[in-house]
Amino acid sequence: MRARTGLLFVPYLLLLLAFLVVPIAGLVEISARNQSVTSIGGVGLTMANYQRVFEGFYLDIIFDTVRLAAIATLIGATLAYPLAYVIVRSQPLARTVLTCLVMVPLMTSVVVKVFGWFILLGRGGPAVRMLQKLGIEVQTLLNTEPSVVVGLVEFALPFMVFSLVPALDRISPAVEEAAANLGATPFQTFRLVILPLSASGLTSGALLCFGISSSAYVVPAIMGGHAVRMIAQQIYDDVLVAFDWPAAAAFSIALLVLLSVLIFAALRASRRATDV
Amino acid sequence: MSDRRFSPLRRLFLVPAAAVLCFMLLPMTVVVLIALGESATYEFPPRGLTLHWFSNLLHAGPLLNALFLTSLPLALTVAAASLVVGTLAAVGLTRGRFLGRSALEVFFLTPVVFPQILLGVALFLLFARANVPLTLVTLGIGHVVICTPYVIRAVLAGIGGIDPRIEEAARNLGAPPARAFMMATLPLLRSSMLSGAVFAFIVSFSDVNIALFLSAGDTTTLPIRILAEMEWNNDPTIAAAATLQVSIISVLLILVQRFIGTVRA
Repeated sequence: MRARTGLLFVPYLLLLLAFLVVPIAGLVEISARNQSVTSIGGVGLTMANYQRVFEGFYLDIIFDTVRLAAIATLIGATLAYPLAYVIVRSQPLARTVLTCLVMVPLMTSVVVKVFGWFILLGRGGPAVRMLQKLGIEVQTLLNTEPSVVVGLVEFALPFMVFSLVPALDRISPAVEEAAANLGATPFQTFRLVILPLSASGLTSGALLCFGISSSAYVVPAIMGGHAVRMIAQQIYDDVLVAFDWPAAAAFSIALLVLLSVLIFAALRASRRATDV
Repeated sequence: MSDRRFSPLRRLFLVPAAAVLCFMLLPMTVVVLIALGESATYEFPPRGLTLHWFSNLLHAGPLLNALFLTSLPLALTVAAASLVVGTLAAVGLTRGRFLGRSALEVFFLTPVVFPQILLGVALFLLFARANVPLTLVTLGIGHVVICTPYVIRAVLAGIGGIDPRIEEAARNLGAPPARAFMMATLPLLRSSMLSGAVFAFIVSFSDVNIALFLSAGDTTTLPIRILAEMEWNNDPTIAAAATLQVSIISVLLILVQRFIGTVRA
């Protein structure tokens, strides 16, 4: 019985092998091919695609992506803390309501959220009209780096909140009370007690936020227009517009390696921090 | 449970937390208000309320088709498939005693953190090179990959909360192992399975990154249709479709929260 029930996971294992592992292996293969008009997968064997990834145009996109994703993660973490803390320290009913209110933007399609920002910040929208009343002449607030950051932060925030909640949940209110009794101001309590004790949630949340921000397509495509170019946009255009699959594949693998290295480094750092 | 008698920090954080919550809900609220507004363009704040754009949706062929002929049937099928595959996987994981069990669990949950856009590209290139035409089936496969982990997570959590002695008792009373599992444990997993399936439905229903590459022509999902139309058509009917999307997801989340209890993403 044990041996047979243990095999119940085989269907999903096969599914993941066929439609996650094999496609990624295919991506690696295509990334080492020359682009060809006769063969859709490319021909020959080359490292030229990777050389291209680390040259001017593509390298700029990588730097911009990392920079914008890092800024969004930093802002997201700062904004998520108060909300996560209030959720954890609320009575059951308020906690349930707040959890639902964060859950809805978490699960709603990013398209709907970007639609809202498009109306708010775009041409003739309320934000532009307000600025014009103040005498500032702008046509649109979209198509700038700050607008992309706003979109990324809003997209990543619920993920950050739900990463912080379990970490904050483990901190007993008695610890905070002790800190206050010893003369700590609320700010000191936060910096010296709450922040270090919730570091694990902060790390995993930051990784998650950075991961989804750096691979975001819809936010930069709609809110960045032609002014901002991030990795996912370039991959999309290379695949579906330029049909330069080897370049897209190499760029995808580069993003994957970047994220893997980051996750590995962060996990090692956090393990070292907990060892001390 | 928290102790509310003492928390000066909570008082301090209350206003910033409310502001952050408003920021998070702002864009969705704007879309809903545009859908309810009388103006025939994206006018915000809206003047007057109307349901006109929702009835107009009935005449908006492409949006309607995307919702009723693609997104809804797709999400329902994906949820059902994920439920079966995911429940089997979760039960297999907890029953099997073998080397690398925890590594396998991590592997099974990778689609949650794996950049979806890359999975979309990788699947697109896989199908293109194998000359497999893009249909609802190929899109569904992509969705089952990203949705099943939600079922696995819910069922694993459910199994963790069940007293193993219940199944043992069934077996001691003479039930064969498989029957003992089906009769004693499975019914207790019903709510975990249901909440996992609901999450699978929602993830499929709101996905863009996979559909961006795998939906084509007559298999355009609602989010992709909204994405394609919102920039060029200044039409509140699109906002009505988006509102419908948000409403379906919100109602499902509230039902899960209400009848199954706290769920976490």
